[in-house]
Amino acid sequence: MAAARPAESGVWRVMAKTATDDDDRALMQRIAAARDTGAFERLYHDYRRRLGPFMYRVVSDPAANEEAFNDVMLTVWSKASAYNGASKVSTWIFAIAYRQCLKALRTARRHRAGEELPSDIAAEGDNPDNRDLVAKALSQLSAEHRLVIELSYFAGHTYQEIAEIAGCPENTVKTRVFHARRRLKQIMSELGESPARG
Amino acid sequence: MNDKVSQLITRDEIDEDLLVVDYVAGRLDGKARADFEARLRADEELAARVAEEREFRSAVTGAASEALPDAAAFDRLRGELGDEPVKRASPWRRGAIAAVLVAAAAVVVFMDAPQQPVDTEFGTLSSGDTVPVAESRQVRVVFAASVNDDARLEVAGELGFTIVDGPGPAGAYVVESERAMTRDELLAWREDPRIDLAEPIRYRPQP
Repeated sequence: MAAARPAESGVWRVMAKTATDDDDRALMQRIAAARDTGAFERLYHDYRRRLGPFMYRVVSDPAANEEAFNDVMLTVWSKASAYNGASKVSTWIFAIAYRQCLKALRTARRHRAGEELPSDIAAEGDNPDNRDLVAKALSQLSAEHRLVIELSYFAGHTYQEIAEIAGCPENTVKTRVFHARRRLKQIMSELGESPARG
Repeated sequence: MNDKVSQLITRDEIDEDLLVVDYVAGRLDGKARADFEARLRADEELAARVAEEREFRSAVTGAASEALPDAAAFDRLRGELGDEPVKRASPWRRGAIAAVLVAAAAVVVFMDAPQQPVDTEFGTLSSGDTVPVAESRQVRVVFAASVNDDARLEVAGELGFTIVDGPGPAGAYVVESERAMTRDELLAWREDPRIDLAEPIRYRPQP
């Protein structure tokens, strides 16, 4: 008789998360100490799955997204010896990506000022209308508001983790989440659909 | 004190709002969850807010895309790895000792000389190695002419400060950040098109 899949257990998920950070730390040590490209390739592909969707949503142009993601991972490679183990590896890497995305969003916002929003910003999916609406609404948030929504709602980070990633106090993150939600609801409502009264 | 200051959202309001968010996101456990659910049973308004947040979360996360960068992108990066200078990576333990020595030296320097701002592009995850540019948490801010009362509150919420007084001479507001600001944070405020001027109060002069 086949054993029950442990992945269905919440306890297992916690254990797997811990093991993942331990794995990440081992890889970082090999990258920093031995400049091990094999370890880096493993970390790269792992974070392509973990960080990739976050960056893909923020930097929506595929070519720019790939370049931005590679820039983040190149920074991980070159700064690996600066990682001091005080935070989770994922938090450290997301912090690098956060700064990259912040710059990209601010630049895009300056270039887009006064222009019509792109209509094909959302990827194809099961519910393209909703995707398009949410993508357009997110694109109208400020860079800081956009990133706290991405990290909290999509990437599932806690406020404490987001504070570490963004390099600001936890209360600032909470304030940003509060105002970002209000603003997002308002924009979604203005764009023709109101999922909440907000 | 400006009338608008009284319209600022309080910390309690924010915490209460995020309690609903955390409950719906499944981030409350044990006693916190039980306490919240007890309140929920007795409070129709709270129940309505929970339903509203469920709808909002569903709409937002339902739009999630799982698109990934191309797996072949690594091959394009591989060539650049060879060009990276191979730094002699110290064993981490030796690095930790070095860090302690550097920190001790920094304390001596701190006591002897005015502080220099530190460029922290990627190097920090905490405020520990950034240097406040002022001795207070207060900053004098002049908003752009296009920023109205509501927008001022929005900017305050977004940048994480509280308006504590104003408008004063030249339309300046005194705002309070949650901690003394670093050079980079202040520069980021100044780059914001909605802010015409941001000067720390009790500035710590650079040499």
